[in-house]
Amino acid sequence: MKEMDFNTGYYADFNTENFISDPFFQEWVIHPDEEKNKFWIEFIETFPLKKDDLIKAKDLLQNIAFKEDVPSDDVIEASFKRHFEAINELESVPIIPVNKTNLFSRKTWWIAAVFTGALAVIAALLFYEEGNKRTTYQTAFGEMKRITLPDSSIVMLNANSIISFNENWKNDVAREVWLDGEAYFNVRHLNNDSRQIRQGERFLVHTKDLQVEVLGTSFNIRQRRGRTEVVLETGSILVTFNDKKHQAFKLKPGNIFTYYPQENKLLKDSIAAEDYTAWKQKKLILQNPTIREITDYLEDNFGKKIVLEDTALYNRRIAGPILFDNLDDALFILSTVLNTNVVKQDSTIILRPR
Amino acid sequence: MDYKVFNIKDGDLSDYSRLYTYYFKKLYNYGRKFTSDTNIIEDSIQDIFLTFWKNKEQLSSVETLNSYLISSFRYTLFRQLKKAKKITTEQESYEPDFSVEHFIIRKEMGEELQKSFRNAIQSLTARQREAIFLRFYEGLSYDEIASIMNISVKGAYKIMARSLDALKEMLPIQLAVIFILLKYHD
Repeated sequence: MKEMDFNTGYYADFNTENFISDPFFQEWVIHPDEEKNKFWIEFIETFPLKKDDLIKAKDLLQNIAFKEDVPSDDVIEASFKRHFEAINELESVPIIPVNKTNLFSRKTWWIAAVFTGALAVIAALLFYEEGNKRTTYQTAFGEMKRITLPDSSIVMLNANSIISFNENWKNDVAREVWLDGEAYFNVRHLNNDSRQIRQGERFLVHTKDLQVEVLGTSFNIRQRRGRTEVVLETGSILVTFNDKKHQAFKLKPGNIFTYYPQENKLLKDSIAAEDYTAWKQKKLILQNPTIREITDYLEDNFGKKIVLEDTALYNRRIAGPILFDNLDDALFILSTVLNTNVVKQDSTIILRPR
Repeated sequence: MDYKVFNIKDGDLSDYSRLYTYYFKKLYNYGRKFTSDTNIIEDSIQDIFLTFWKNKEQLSSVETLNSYLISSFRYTLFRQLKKAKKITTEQESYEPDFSVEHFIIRKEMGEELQKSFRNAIQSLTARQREAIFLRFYEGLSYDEIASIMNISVKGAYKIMARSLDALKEMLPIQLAVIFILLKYHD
């Protein structure tokens, strides 16, 4: 980013009003990322007296809001049908939808996700795909769900996640599930002869950017904030990518693999897998996590925005497990460690220095 | 949002219908800021998607799809609103107005504050209100705002500076409670 060239000294004499009007400052408020956070943390560290002005400006910009006008599903669906008929007239060969009932099925649970809010709702929606019913499970923020797959493999679905699969699994077709969010898999091993693998013995997890293929094993996939993490407990798994630039590879137990499709970055590291998957026991154990990693995790799983007024705290590291049976407990511990108060404003939680 | 030229010949419409749904919501919300006539909004969306469909091979860049759809929607909507206005009132020089009512004011805010907030928003021009919406609600860059509002990039900076100036009048009052954040990111 070219604006990063100037140093923090440029802002030494800025007051709240100047910050508000500054495009680079606005960019940070609207689209914060690590690089920009670093810049502004450095600024506050260098010019601590400017902190109040900066926070005021950030508050003002962040609090500009508008009413949302949401069209009903029927209106959208009717409009798309009309559009579909119009484009069909343009085509020399008519377009015949393969699975007409499937067209808007995704929308249905998507809308449900928006409106159920904190309610623990499992949207088990059925739709047809080549004569096979598709089952979808969804967890709300703060909710966890144990799911048994048709082959009796077990899935623990973490909060704010969606998994779907066909209802009937056949012996000659690979077992397949689609995941958005985070889940822990314990896959039933069906193969007896590793030299000869039948289709139905394969088990595939599809995420937005990559696939994980296994025969039988336990592993965790966390797909959040544009990146995907795969952690293997036992067995071996094959990771393949939608982006064909990247070669498929095998992951070993006790390893974590992280994929950042946007930055085109792949990272492999060793990890204590049982700590990583401790969320199943409602315990969050990260290895010397920064506060930022913890708040990101809480935001993803509980659906509240968590803001630290003292942004310098984001980079602090803490050791040891944090129980997150519920959000309030996690916040209590966090605020004790950081010496802050917890201020709740609608869907935002502010940790304010005492 | 992922976008490629849709392989619709195979009858797989799910990607395309998702794109349509996504933008229908976005554009509907945007259009409602100017008019309560949802028929005109829907017609405009139909129009621009038909044009999009005809040119989809040329419009294959992810980066510009978002601002392309928003700006062609705005252009079409404004044209239709002007046409409708001309028929009913014979008014020639009509400009659609980004309505003040769409700014959110916190309920627990005191009456004094509400009043001065409303005044501040009211003192903005329709274009200034729209620029604030595009920048802070849609999260668009100055370049994108310029192309959508059909002004120069310099003009976009100018409009924004003036709008923020007006809002700054509010600064002496307790800031945190003036506006409230309600933005969902997908």
